[in-house]
Amino acid sequence: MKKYILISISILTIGLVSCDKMLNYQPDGAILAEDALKTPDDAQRLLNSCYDVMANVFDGSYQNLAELLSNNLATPTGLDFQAVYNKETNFFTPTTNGVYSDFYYSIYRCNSLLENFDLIEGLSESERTRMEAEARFIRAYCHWHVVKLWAQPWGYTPNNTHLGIVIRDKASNAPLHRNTVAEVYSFILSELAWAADNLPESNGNYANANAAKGALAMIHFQMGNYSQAIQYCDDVINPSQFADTLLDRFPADVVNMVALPNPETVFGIVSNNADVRTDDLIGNYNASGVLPPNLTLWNDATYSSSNELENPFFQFINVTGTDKRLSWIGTNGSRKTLNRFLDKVVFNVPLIYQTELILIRAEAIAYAQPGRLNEAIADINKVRTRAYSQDNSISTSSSVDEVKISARREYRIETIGEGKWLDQFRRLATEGVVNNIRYSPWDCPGMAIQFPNNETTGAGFQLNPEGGCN
Amino acid sequence: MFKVKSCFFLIMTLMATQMWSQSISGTVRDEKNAPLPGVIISVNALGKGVPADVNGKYNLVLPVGTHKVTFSYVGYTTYETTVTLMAGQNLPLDAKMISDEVTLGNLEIVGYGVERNKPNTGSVAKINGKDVTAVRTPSFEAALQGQAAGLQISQGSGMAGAGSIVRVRGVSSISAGGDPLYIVDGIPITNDYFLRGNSGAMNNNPLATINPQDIESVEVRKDAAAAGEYGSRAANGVIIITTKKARQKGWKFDFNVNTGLATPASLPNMLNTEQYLHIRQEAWENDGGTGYVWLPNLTSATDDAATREAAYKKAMGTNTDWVKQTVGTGTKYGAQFGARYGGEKHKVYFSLGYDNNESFMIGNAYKRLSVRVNPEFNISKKLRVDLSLSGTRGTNQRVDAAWSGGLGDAMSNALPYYPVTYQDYNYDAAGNVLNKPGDYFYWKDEFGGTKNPVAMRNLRRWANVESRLINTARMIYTPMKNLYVIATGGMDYMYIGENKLNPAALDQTNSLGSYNSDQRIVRNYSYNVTAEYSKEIVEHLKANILVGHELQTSSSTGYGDYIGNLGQDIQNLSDVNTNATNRVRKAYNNEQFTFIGVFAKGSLNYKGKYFMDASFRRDGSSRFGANNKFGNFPSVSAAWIASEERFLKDNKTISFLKIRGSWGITGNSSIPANAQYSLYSAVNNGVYYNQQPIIFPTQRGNSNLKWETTSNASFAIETGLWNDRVSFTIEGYRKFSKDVLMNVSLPASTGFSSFWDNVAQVKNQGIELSTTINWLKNRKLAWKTNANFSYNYNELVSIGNYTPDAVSGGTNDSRVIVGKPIGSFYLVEFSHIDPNNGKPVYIDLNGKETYDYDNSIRKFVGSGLPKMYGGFTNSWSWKNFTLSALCTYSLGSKIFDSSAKRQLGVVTSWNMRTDILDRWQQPGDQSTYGKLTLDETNYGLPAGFPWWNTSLFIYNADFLRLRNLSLDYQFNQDQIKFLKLSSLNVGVYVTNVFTITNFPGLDPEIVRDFENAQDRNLSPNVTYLTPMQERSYNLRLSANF
Repeated sequence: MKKYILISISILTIGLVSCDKMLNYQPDGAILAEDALKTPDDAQRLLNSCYDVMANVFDGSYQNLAELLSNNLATPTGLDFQAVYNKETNFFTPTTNGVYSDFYYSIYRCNSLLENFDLIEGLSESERTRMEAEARFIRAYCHWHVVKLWAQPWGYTPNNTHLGIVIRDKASNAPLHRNTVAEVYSFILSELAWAADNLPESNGNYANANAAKGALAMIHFQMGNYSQAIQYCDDVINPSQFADTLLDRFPADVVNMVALPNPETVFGIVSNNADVRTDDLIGNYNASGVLPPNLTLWNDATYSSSNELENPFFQFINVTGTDKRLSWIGTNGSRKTLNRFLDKVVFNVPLIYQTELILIRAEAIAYAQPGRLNEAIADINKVRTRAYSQDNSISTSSSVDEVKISARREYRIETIGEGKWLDQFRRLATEGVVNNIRYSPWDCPGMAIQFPNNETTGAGFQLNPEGGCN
Repeated sequence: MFKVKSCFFLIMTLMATQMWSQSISGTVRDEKNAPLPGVIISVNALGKGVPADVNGKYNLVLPVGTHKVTFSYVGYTTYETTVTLMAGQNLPLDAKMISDEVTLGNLEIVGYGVERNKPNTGSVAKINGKDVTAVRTPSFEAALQGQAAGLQISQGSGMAGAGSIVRVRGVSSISAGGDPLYIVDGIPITNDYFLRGNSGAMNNNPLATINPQDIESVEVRKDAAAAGEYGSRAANGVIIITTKKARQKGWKFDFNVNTGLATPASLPNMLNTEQYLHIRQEAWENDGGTGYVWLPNLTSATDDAATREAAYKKAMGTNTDWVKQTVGTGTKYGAQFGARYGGEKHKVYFSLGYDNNESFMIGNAYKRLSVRVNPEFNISKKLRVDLSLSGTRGTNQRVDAAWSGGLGDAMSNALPYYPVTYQDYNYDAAGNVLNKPGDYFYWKDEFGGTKNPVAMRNLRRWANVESRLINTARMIYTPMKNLYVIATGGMDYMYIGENKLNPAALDQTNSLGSYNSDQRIVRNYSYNVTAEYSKEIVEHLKANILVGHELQTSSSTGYGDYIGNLGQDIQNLSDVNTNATNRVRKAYNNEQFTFIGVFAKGSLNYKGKYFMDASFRRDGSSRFGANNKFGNFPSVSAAWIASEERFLKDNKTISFLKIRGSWGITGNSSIPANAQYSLYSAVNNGVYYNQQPIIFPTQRGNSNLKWETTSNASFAIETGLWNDRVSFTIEGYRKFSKDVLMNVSLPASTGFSSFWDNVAQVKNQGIELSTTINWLKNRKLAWKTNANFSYNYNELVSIGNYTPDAVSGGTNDSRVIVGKPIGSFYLVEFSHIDPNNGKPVYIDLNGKETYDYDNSIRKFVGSGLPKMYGGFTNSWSWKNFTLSALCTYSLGSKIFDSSAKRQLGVVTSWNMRTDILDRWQQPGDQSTYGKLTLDETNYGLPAGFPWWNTSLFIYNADFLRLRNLSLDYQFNQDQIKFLKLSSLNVGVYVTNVFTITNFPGLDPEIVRDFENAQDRNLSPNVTYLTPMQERSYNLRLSANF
């Protein structure tokens, strides 16, 4: 009897040896998080992946949304673009949800890096500082672009206590509520200030100290902190980098499909023929066969505002035939198209560059440092000299208001298609300079893009009100 | 009223006169002629049995006829004999039981243990193989519908090989697989519906390869006592499939053939050209348009009036019924040959089957070739080896469906004014011939896809090939009396290869065509070893103890190929050079998991009327976090056969009474293999920013993931009345699941889309009733009813601090709503059409009416889970004829007709259903649908978003269906003597004869294609262009010799 029981037990125990080991697998085709970040090279790769996602967002994805909300474009093709254009996004709108998610993918990656420096062996202090500064720059830059589209702008409420976006400064899956716009801007500014202090002066195609300062200039300008904007612009503007003759901000060797350098670039997205990061620009502004482009310029002679900044882009630019930038405009049937990306595939996308900073500073000077008005006038005329085939300079005795008008005008034209005009329109709207974007007020609810549905999975998240822009 | 009373009187009279007064009775003794109590005397075909009393005596009441009577008892060879009872006859039948100390031949193994030691305390529904093949369904599991209480089956559609949703006592899981565990001949089989995702709007059905003709029986184990021995994987029930084996001496053969026709059980009522253009014109004019309306793919809104008019008039010249172009009549035929041999020592069952199952979808068929060999080797008196070897090759000739095209196109973007082919030459502006007569006419759908379902079907070559080997080997060793050591090993190999050729003629953007291939292989190995010992501890108290362990390991690999620029001459899959130099191959990651468990189970049986079982398992799964890999799963149960007590022994009314109850913990681990891990990847399709390498997080893991567990309590009363003429079982249960696994949809701002966590709590409780009533039985005429009724209350008790949007059923608008069932629809509530202006009116969260459609006012508007379901079968036999009717029903659920939001909403580039004719046209109209418009903003919808997701399309899904109607004729022996057959049966049967329902769509039972297991759990009763059910007319012939 005992013998048989022993036999049975022996049989039963077969296979029970090393049970625990059998329950552990190394996942195929993936790297365990604990094995992913060990060397400085790993950290650099993770940092590069932050840029990688950002490059996807700024391939036109972000810019197109911002342009559609502005008064630069006509009714687009495509349901999602129409939802943005009509200021009727909802939390199922895939395109806006995709851009929003991409910004936070990049932010998450940056946070992952920032939280795991201690895991990395052999990382020098200087390298760590550089990487940290780059990660914090990207994180802040992404937050800024999210808050601009998914919330009402700075100045919408007196103390900016209106709801902004979720600040993500930790790699966490906890659902969070929205911070106020004031809190978001405070976070962005402090992060960029730290980055500006710690980024290297030169950093190849990646962010350097001037990138952070340029971003600070742009943000302060949008906030109406004109003195600070001037200060940061002064740091970054380098007359030798201004491209006197290069009107094309996106130079490309079309034949060899190679991006050409733009000397004005302070910070931007780079492409090469093995890695094209311009899909949403070339895919939406260029015609596809017999079909017109998805995005075309707003051209409506029947719409006329006493403030030219509110007018359709085509009517706005088509004042004088001497503007060489008219060559950026083409025709497709009854539509006016934007040709800045025509025939191009591989080109870089400058995000912070000299022309923009020059125009920002010029307008800021008119607000805050009228004593430097001549400098502002000279800067505007540098841009105008490049832009017009005939002398179209403003008077050296232009008034403060004339400088502002000229700076704004050049800014709108120079940045067409780049998703920047919306920021300035809203800033001017908070100051009462402009009001309507197309047929609805600048601050109607639908101007803030709706958050993705999944943002509400945590209780208490407050969505943007929808519609209301008819 | 008088007639009713008369009928009742007549029935009762018949019952009284035909009341079973016939029986068998006697004494059971052992080899020493001592009375042997506790022996079970049963007639398995009737599901009847009684234990011998303490004196070995028994009395078993039976209907008139011939019965195979089985005497079984622990430690004794099962004794079988056949008796024929005349009306009123009491046949004495004594039996002598022979100790089976050295005989293993008749030992049955079900689950982990010896069949005759199986628990008497659990809830088990057993369905015979004959009932499985009685209904013609795309896959065997659908044939179980309505045949067992607590087993809810929703057949997906009538597509060839389509699967079903199977739920045992409700669904307890949210994101983890909610399907029961399937065991075939002792081993768990792979049951993954998403191996190839949702390709072509149809999920893979892993059960389609199982040949129903090979099935001896199907056991559905429902409660903790019955399913508890599979503890950790049994939260959603266990279905045990036992295949056929040889049982007799010598050779026996059987041969079955069947043939039939498949037709759609219903058809969509799409608008014809005249109706569609009229509707569209009305919408255009309602919106302020003048002249003729613009037409999709012919004109645009900006075209001038003359162009629009010309196009309109041209469109009126074509009227294509696209439904008829995609749906027709399919043919079915199948043949099965079986051979059984029983020798002195060895036995074998062999079968070879072929089935060609065309559906009503033109071009769609599932062909299955299967072979099975089940040998049994009695190597010695102490050792037996059983093998169960099966190989199946299934070929699914695919066609597009639902959102992917085919009939789905016919119900959506295929407008009736589109011709199938050009009738005339078509020229461009320069006069060049673009198309000639006979060329297919292609159009673009709203997403830019090139469409024409007839061209797609005729030109595309698309097949899904499945090869499956389910092989087990079992060794039964009995070193001493009443001790059995059973070792079972199994291999379930599944290969699925999907190959699709888009020839040049079909490819609108690449004139050279393309080829896609997706290959998946799942290797699932398992073994379990048990030792089982039975002993009479004291007089009349028998104990049984079983201990064992188990291991299962599975890996899933594969790859996908794409080959472009095939060339003009490539027309068939066989023409494709699959090793072409431009082939792009993507290897899929190897998904692996391992499961291990140790378990013990003890049973007590006192005097054959008091039973108690207890089991305990400790299981581990590789899918969980390091600290939570193991879980404990106990169960206890007891049963009392009260009818064996003296106070009931001679009761004339109650012939059988059993009370049983059980409690236990069961679990679920059906989640992705690597959900616990936080992962990074260095692969980004070869693209790296700034030409520098990257590494990036791809998955946020959860190292605390643990088992989802269900506390399962059940209580039942089984009874037989009037000598078991009427028998019924009533059963109540309560299942409470905690740590329910949710693939939580994370806020996008976290940087990830989802995250697995143990979050929810789910409650299922219900009542089941099954009954068998033998209304009438004599030599010439018999009438029997089997009926079952199930009520299940399902409630999502908690989802932590999440909102309903935390887990969703894909695009199906089903969400997790606390206090409501899993599978609840979350939509804007529609109130009515305003008679004054034709605008839709909605109800906001405060109950107020509003014109504003806003996602923030979505709410619970219905559940897709039925509250009550079941079936009843009536069989009437007259002489050699048997007429049988199986009805199934479902009550208390809603169905979301997700495609109606486009077919009956804003007028778009979709065709619409004739229901839309009931629209608002002028003030004062009371209509179902609103004022027609081409502009979705008129319905309050966002611009560019014509998806009218409202409760208007939530319908009552109650139905009663005559699921199967069959008429069989059994030849007498003297009629077939000359054929040297032992039996011959011919029959005709119709499946899905009719359905009584108020649902205005295609079918209230339709289940759509799913994206993943979560979608499958959350979105029952959703249809989105889903093909209808099949109605088939069949003829069968079976012969034994």
